[in-house]
Amino acid sequence: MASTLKKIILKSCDGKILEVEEAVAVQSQMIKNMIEDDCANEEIPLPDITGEILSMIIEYCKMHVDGENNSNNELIARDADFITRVDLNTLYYLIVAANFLNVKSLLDLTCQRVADIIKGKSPEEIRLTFNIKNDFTPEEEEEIRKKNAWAFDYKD
Amino acid sequence: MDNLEGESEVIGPMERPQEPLIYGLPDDIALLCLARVPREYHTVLKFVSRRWRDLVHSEEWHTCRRKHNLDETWIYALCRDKFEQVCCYVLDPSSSRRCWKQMRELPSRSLLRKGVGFEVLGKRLYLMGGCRWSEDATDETYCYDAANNSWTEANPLSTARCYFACQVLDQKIYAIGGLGLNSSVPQSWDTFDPCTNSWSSHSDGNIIPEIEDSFVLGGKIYIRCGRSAVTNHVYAVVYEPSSGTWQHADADMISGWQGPAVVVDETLYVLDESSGTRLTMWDKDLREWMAIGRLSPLLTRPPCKLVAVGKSIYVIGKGRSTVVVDVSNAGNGGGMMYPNSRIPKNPSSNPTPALKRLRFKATLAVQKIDSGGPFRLLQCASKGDKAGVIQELEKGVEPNGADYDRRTALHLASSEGWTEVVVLLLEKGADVNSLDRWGRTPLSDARSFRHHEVCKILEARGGTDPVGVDSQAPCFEIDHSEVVMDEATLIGEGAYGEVYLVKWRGTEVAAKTIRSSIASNPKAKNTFLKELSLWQRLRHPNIVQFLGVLKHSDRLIFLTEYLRNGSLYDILKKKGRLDLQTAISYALDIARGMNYLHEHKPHAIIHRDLTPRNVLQDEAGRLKVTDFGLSKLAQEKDSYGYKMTGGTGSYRYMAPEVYRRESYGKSVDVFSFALILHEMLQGGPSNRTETAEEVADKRAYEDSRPALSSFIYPEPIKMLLKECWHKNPDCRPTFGDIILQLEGIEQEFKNGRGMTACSSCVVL
Repeated sequence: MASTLKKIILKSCDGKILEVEEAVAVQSQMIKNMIEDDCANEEIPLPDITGEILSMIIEYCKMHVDGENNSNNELIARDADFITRVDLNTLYYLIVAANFLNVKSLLDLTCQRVADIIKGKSPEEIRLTFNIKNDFTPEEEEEIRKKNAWAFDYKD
Repeated sequence: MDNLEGESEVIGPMERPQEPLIYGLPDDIALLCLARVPREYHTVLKFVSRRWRDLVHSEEWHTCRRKHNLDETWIYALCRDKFEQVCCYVLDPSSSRRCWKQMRELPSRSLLRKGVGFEVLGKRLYLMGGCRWSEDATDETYCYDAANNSWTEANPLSTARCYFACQVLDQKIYAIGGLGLNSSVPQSWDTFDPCTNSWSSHSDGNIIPEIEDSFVLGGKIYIRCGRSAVTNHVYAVVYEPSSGTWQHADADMISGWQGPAVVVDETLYVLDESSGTRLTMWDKDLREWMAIGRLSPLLTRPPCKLVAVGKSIYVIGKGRSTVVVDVSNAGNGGGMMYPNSRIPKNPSSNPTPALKRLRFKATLAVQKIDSGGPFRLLQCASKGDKAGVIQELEKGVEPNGADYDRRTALHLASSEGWTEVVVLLLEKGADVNSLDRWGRTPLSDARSFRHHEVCKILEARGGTDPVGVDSQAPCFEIDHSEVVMDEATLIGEGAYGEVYLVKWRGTEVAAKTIRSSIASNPKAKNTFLKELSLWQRLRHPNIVQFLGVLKHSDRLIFLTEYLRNGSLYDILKKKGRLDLQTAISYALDIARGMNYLHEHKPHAIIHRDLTPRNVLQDEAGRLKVTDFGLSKLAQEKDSYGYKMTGGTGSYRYMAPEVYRRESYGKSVDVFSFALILHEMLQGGPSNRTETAEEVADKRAYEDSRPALSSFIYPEPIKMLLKECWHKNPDCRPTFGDIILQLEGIEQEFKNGRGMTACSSCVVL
């Protein structure tokens, strides 16, 4: 029943309306399910996603639909380009939105990005980056240090 | 270390403010992010905060990683260090800097045990049983949690055992056979069920003793006992879980189980180490063993253990030398196999200058013989080891330091034609015209050995040659009036004559006389004089220096340097068994001297009578080989009815092919060398109750060899000895190989790292 020209209308929490081709919209498993259940004929409200984030996600989905014929490497390079432009706060919003909309590849990409940021950092650098409080007592810290000394890799 | 309680920090439950894992993300999503951090960084995560630490320790963390296919496999190798203590190394195959890392904090009580079982079940590593010199087999079991990085004592085995096989089948650990406190142990096995956290015991008379290897294939456990050296017959049995019994295994398949085995994707691979290292595969459909390829001996040193990660086989040899073979695209046919990658055994094996210097400090600390003197500089110069020369000079060794014969490094490098070393030494201030005992300069040597390039370099630096290359005067002839034989002291007797201590030009030297029975034969005398003219050119820190031949009316006498410390035979008689460090250092001395003789151009010099009596010690404690080639003389005489009495004990060190009077080559000395090394560690010859000739007879016709007790001989030495006294002369290594191996072993000892072969290997 779905024609390729069919448009899906999405509404962000800040009231922005975005019209998206169905082929792009179904990158989201959630929207795909709604279309299949015939619930996507009117605009779909997305309560937790801002217009800015939503347009980024649509940009991403478009990239993947348009790039279907491209080589895998090219797509990976584009993904990398897309994700490294994003700051940490935006990254969080993207993760939450990708999770909500159930865009599997975007969720993988964004979560991997967080892991990549952590990789190679010292505990202190990680705390600073993610604004985490060091709640260990000095004794506890010493204890972990002692226990894990041989496995501990980063250089202070 | 035994009471590490991994749970202690989880117990404090009072404060539960539940800070989010990452601000701005719900915890379930934060978990998805953190789970993607590679395993090598997990330790760092534990340092960030309590919540992060608890997360990494939690079951949820592992479930999440497994669910998203993020779990990573690490390889754990159980080895033994220089103190024969158990140590464990871990390798992260996916890490960019792939290298073995030593685990710390092993349970202290299992450290000294041997024959310990090692297996992985779930996310835990188990260390089971074992025994010690002073302790019977134990049932103690320890369990390592990789997430907590902590060991805890686990439920003990039902039966105390050691040297048993370990496998995991249907999520249960099987501890099979081995030795224990009573005679029923070898025919029993224990299984551990993690659900009930308990062991149960079973028995079956079909279980074979002395299990050497095991694997699981097609849901069945196969065990194989040690192969008989004589028949090469493989004996193996298989456990059928359906009936709970052990039965004879498929003979065709088992026939190729000639070495360590591993199963990848339900296909059995075996590393055949009987001659070289060959990877073979059992083709189930054709019911045939197929050769996959050979591994270069330069890449990995047997004995090896195999372990599979994905479609790759990790071949882990001595000193944790590791190569990876991807069997999903391994070439077929019997050619040389190029491993997909090679892993350094530890980070320091990258030869960066800083690390090299560091290593050298360690050398200094242990080997006192080396300190100060030019010994190693001379050694390196004669070997052409430029890096070694640089190292020595940097250390502050005098470039003009000389040996007993006032031979400098420049002399040695010039004789051997090591152009680069010559240039280097000259740059570092070596005297181009230093004179040795015979008044020869480095240029004299370079000319005698026709190293034209070296000659040019030396000449350019103002080198002169007072001796003159063409001076035909046999400089080794010494007028008999220079030595007063009547005042000589008899210091020894060999097969060919007596040895006296005499004074020559103010120096104590050894005068060796040749029996008149030999010397009076013109043919023998001629051969001998030819041999002597060859000897006068030989110069090496580990061979006794020949000085000249005495022209005497009736007797044939030649002079060599005199070493007052006596022979290795005397040392062993006095001290008994040598410690490993000394034995290796002595063995290296002998091997270096012998290598110099074997590498002699144009013809190798075969010693033919290498025995502890023919290895002398100088005042610095270094060993020197003497009397090489003399037995040739005796042999020459053999046809005239002269018979070696064997009174010097030569028979004990005689290679089987010599005893059988077959043709032989250089490797006869390697055979003798093995027996000497064995004797140094044993404290005396084996089979002392038998006569030397009986011993030689058994070695030649019954393949008898000295026993190698594991308590004395570390695995790499054992392997070396077995190679060196191999019955097939062609299978014996050269002294060049032996030096490399011994240096490797020595280095491992000094580094304090596990030097023996890996005894078990698992993945977790």
